[in-house]
Formats: sequence, structure tokens, C-alpha cells
Amino acid sequence: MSEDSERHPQAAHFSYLQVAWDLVKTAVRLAREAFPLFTPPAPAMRETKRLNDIDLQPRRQAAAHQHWGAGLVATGFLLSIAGALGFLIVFWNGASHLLLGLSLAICFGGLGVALVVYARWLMPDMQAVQARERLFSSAAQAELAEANFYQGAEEIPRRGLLGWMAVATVGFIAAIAVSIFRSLGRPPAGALFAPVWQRGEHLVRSDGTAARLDTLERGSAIIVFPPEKIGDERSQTVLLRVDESLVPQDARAGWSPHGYYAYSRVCTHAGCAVGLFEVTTCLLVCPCHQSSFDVLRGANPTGGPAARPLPQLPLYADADGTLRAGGDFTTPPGPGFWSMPPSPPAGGTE
Amino acid sequence: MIELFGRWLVRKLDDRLRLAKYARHALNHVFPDHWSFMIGEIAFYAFLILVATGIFLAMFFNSSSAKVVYSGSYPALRGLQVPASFDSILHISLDVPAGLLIRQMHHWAALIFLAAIVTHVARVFFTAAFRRPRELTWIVGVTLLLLAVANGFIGYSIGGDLLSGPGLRICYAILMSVPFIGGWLAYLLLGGDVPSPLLTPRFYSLHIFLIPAAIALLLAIHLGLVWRQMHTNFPGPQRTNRTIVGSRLWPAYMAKSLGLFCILSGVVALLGALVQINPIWIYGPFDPTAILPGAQPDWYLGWIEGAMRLFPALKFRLGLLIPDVFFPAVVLPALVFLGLYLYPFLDKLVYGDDSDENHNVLRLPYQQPFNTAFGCAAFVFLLVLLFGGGDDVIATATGASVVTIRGILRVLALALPPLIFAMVYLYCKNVDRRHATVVEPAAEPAPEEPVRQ
Repeated sequence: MSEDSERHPQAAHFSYLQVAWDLVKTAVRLAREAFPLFTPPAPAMRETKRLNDIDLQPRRQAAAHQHWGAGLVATGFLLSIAGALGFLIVFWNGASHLLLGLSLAICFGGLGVALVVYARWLMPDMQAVQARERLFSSAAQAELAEANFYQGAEEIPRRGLLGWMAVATVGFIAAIAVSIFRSLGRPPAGALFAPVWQRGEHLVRSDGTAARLDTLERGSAIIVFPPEKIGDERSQTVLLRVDESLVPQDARAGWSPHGYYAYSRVCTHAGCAVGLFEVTTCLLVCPCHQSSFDVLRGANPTGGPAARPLPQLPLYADADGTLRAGGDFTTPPGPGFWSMPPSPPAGGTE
Repeated sequence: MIELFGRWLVRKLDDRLRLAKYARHALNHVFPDHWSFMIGEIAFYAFLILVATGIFLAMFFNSSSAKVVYSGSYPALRGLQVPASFDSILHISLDVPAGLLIRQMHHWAALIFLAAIVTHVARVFFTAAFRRPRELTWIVGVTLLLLAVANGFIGYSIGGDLLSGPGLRICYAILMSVPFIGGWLAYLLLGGDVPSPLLTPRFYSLHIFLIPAAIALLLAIHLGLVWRQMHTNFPGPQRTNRTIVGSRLWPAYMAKSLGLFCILSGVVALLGALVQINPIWIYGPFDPTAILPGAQPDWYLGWIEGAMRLFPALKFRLGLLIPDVFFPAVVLPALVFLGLYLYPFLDKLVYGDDSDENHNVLRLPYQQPFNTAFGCAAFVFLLVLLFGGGDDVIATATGASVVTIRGILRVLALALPPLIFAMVYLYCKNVDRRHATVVEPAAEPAPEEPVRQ
């Protein structure tokens, strides 16, 4: 027992009080080191010349901040640890979005500030002046490398035919690599010109009901589709009704029974849905880029960046008052492409 | 203890790889200290944050555009048919612990990434850091900008939501307007007319594999070139084409740079926590017949959107139809990026610099009046276009009509750039003249040959 206590004298006098007191003393010592308010700062280390250095320039007077620097760095590290602990506590207790983000920001921000202050205020802040390496080869080196290349090439036997065959093989493998893109889909030549409407089709709303002559009040509009294409982006058509007296007596007058007009709802400018109908001016307006189209003049563009009219759908009403398509759109719907056919004249009296 | 282990490990590695020489050069590598040289670093660190947060998001994202019935915790959409991609983003945002934070950090980091790249490009441009021997660094950098813009757009377009849907419709229209290969491009990239079921898987693959890999590769080349050729210096004492002045990598520069990384992460976390971004559950799923009024792209595409709005409706055909968006959305961006790519060579013409001399000391903006004036004019032009991209929002805010706002912006887009060019050019000439009478740089002293060990 006595031998044992000689080897480990502290073991005999162990007390929690002693441990606690030691911890307090250590904490005070660390704090005094970190926060040098009570102790004069150690003189800054001088930087010395190293590899490639020509000179060292002092950057600025760092000493003025040194007194505070260590304390600030310590505070930054402590904040960072507190932030990390905060994140862990929040994460394991329901993970509130706001608290997670704030604690993470404190964690990273504290660490970042600590590192920057450490580098700028406490580390030796000298500017090293170094010579740059000249980044070109001497003529002799370049010639040696070139000579070795041609020397190696000379050593390849039968490179005429076999060399070209190697090149051709790589070319064919490249052809495989390029043609594999075919699987990603080719523009089906017909799809851009595929008809949307067929003569006689009903104009169906997304709930499946067909539009009739009494469906709309004057000055209102709905979205309709061909019966087989409900919800299809390219087939969306705006059906609207104006007062019969407004319909101009031009070549297309017969397409608008009882003041009903139908136009493609895909903007000819950039393909957005032409979502707005301004009743007082009889304009269809695209909310994307504010192109406007004159309903009474074949949806000719009247403002904004669109240059082509919206394709029109001829309409007629059958005997029981159901509206039907009189054919297909005047041009393929959607934004322009180079092989798009020209729009037919609106036939309007300008 | 740790130090002993570290020494042991390093010795074992060095015994096998002979690293000491390189390590010594690396530790003593010098980086100039100037705040404007940190902007490129911010872009780099934003990319790291994007990769880290992106990996987390990819664990949950479902790239299918098949319709599913939403049954998550957001009551307003419960029971609605939504694309599976939309459903998975709602799951990440509202049901995964810390998911919303990571997602918002990802989007904010993307905006900071782009902003830092653009600012970095501007810094390099206005100090002519692209001159010999750094033309390749510049070209790689412009390519990185292009890839970042593309991946930003693709990133916010894979949500299947109502805000990004019309953006994809416009993207389809722009691709279709490319002469001759437009249809091929649209079908290759978008899988056909939007909405196509092929689009989301294709964009997802581009967004998380191809483009990030390309960015990482080009970034490595970019940084490798900066390391090998060493950074430029602003003019100053002992700064010549044969010398470099700055902090050593170990320890000061490394601490500062890591500190910057941490502060940036903190800022991104703060934005992710406090500032909501792209809440697609409020917009709802994409519906081809619906559209959000006042919709805008992210800012780095706003100038193209603005050009599409301000460009007048041209009614002529050259045998074939010239699509409306061809000039503003294909020709203009192509010219902007072509100009960026070729500028180092234009600079050689403007300043008659056909020597084989390497330029390691930067020009100050007033020392290159043409470049500075040209850069400012181009910047103002793009800024007017950016405002044009929000002309409807400006009209709503000011009470003026869109037509009026658009007319004013059209005039500004044409009148401001030449005006700015003239003003900046004359100002730089004036400053240059004043400085020329004061500072006469001494002839470069022959540098000491570096000690080679």
C-alpha cells in the first residue's frame, strides 16, 4: 500500500474537489493565454527567407492588433463549437429549419472569422518577393524532346499501311460513339407539321364536355382540345366569343359562327401559353413576353416581340348547336423554326 | 503524438514517392494578397458547397416525370397528380430533416457561384490579366462560365414546377430557332417538345454527371494553370514581370483561404436559413395550359430574356422563316461569348502587343482606356437587357405601361453603351495623363536567379 502510494502519490489524496480545482486552474491558464488582456503579448515571430525568396517586405503593422487577436480567435473557435453543438442538439430534436441554418451559419462563420483573424493579426505577415520560374524550355531541351519523338516514330516498322489502319479503326469507333446519340431521339420529321384538328371534331374542355353555341357569354374565353388530345400542350386552343357585330366581313368571316373564334394557345414567339384575353380591346396577350394578338384580324400581332399571327382554327356549328372544327389550324402551332411554312394572309380589311 | 504519427506517415509516403521537393515548393508557393483576387476563390468554394449539398439532394431526387398522387405533409397539394420529380423535391423540402436547409443552400450557392464567376471575369477583364501567358486560363474560365450558366438553368428546370415549365418552353423555342440543326438540338437535349417524359432524366444526368464533371475537370486545369504560371501582381514596389510578391501558402495564405471558405459556407447557411428560394410547392406542378404572371429566370439568364422582350418583331423571311427569338436568344449570346473568348487576341490588336513578353504585372483600368470603356459599355448594355427581362415587373411597380417601359429600355440599350464608352474612355485618358506626369516606373532590375535545390 505504501509503495503504491509512493509511485502514485496523487492516488492516495484523490478528491473530486482537487480535480475540480485543477480543472478551474487549467481553464484560467488557458483563458489567460487565449485572452491576453492580463498578460503582455508574446513578441511576434519573425519570418525568415525561404526557398526562392529574393526579399521580404513588411506588409503592415500587425502588432497593434495582436493584443486583441488571440482573444478574438479563441472567441471564434468557441462560437464555432457552440454552433456545431447547437446544430446537433436541434437536429436530434425535430430539426427546425431556421435553428439548423442559424447554428450552421454560426458554426462556419465563427470558424472562418477565427481563421482569418489568426492569419492576418497573429501570424507573421511578411510579403515574400520571389523570382518567377521562366516558363519556357531552352532550345536544346526542346530539340531533344522533338528528336526523341521522331526517333521513336522512325523505330515503328511498317507504319505506312498499319498506321493508317490504326487511324481508320479509331475513326470507326468514333462513328459508333457518335451514332449512339441516335438513341436519344431524332426529330421525327412529321411531328412539327402533324395536324392537330380534323374537320368535324368537337371542341372538348378538360372536363370532357364539348363546347356548344351557348357555352360562352360574349367576352369570355375557355381552353379546348381535340377529343383525343385533352391536356396536350401543342393542341391547346383558346375558344372565345365576341359580340357578333364586331366580326369583320372578310374572307374568314365564315369561320366565326355567332362571334366564336378559336386560335392556337401556343405563342408563336417563344411557345408560352397565351393566357390572357383582353375583352375591351379584343386582344389575346401572352404573359411571358407581352406579345398581343388581334382577335378580330386573324390574331395578327399588334405589340410585343411576336412577328407571326396565332394559327386560327375555322369553326362551324352543326344543327344541334355544337361547335365543330372546320379543318386544321392555318399553320402548324408553336414557336417558329426555319422550315415553318408562311402564315396565310388574314384576309382582313386592314 | 499526432505529430509523430504524421511524420511517420509522411516519411513512409516520401520513401515511396519522393515528394519532399514538391512539398517544399508547395509550402513556399506565394499568392499575392488583394481582396479582388479572392473572388475567383469564392467561385471555387461555392462549387465545393454545390457538390456537397448536391450529393445530399441527389440521394432523394426522383428524376421520373411520371404522375404520382402527392401524399406528403403539404396540405394544399395533397391528393393532386404531380410529376414524381416534383413530389420528391417536396419530400426533400418538407419531410426530410435538414432537407430544406440543404436545398436552399444549394440554390443560394449556385447564385453565388455565378455571381462570383461573373465578378471574377470582370476583375480579370478590367486588369487585363488575360494577356500572355494566360490566354488559355481565360478561355477555360469563359467555358466554366458557360457551363455554370447551363447547369444553373438545368438545375432549376428539373423540378417539374409551374415556374420552370414555361422557361423550358422558351428553351425549346430558342433551340428550335437555331438554323438547320435546331430540331436535332431540341430533341437531343429536351427529348422533344416540352413537356416530354424524356426531359427530366436527361437534364438530371446532365446536371449531376456530365456538367459537374466537366466543371471539375476545367476547374482543375484552370487552377493548375494559375499554380504553374503563378498569380499576377498589381503594379507596386518590387513587382515586375520576373517576380511575384505575396503570402506563402503555409501558413498564412492557407489559413486565410480556409477562413474564406468557412465564412462563405456560413453566409450560404445563413441565406439558406433565412431567405426562402424557389418554393415550388407554392407555384404548384407544371401545367402546359397555365402560366405564372411576372415569371423571371434566374438573374444570369435575365439578359437573354430581356433581349427577347426588347428585340422588335421582325416580319421578313429569307426564303425560310427566321424565328422571332433567333437574333436575341441565339445570335446575341453567341456574340457575347465569342467576344469573351476572343478578347485576349483583340487586346493584342488594340494595344499593338505582338511581343513574346509575358505580362505578370496587371494593368490598372485607367491604363487601358479602350478595354475599360468597352467593358463598361458592354456591362451597361447587358444591365439594360437584364432590366428588360423584368419590364412587366417594373411596369407593375411604377404604374407605367409595359409599352412605355419597353420603349425607354430600347432607347437606353442603344444610347447608353456608346455614351458610357465615350465617358469612361475620356475619364481614363485624363487619369492616365495625370498619373503619367507623376509616376515614371524605373527600368526593371535584373532579378536574382532563384536558388534551385
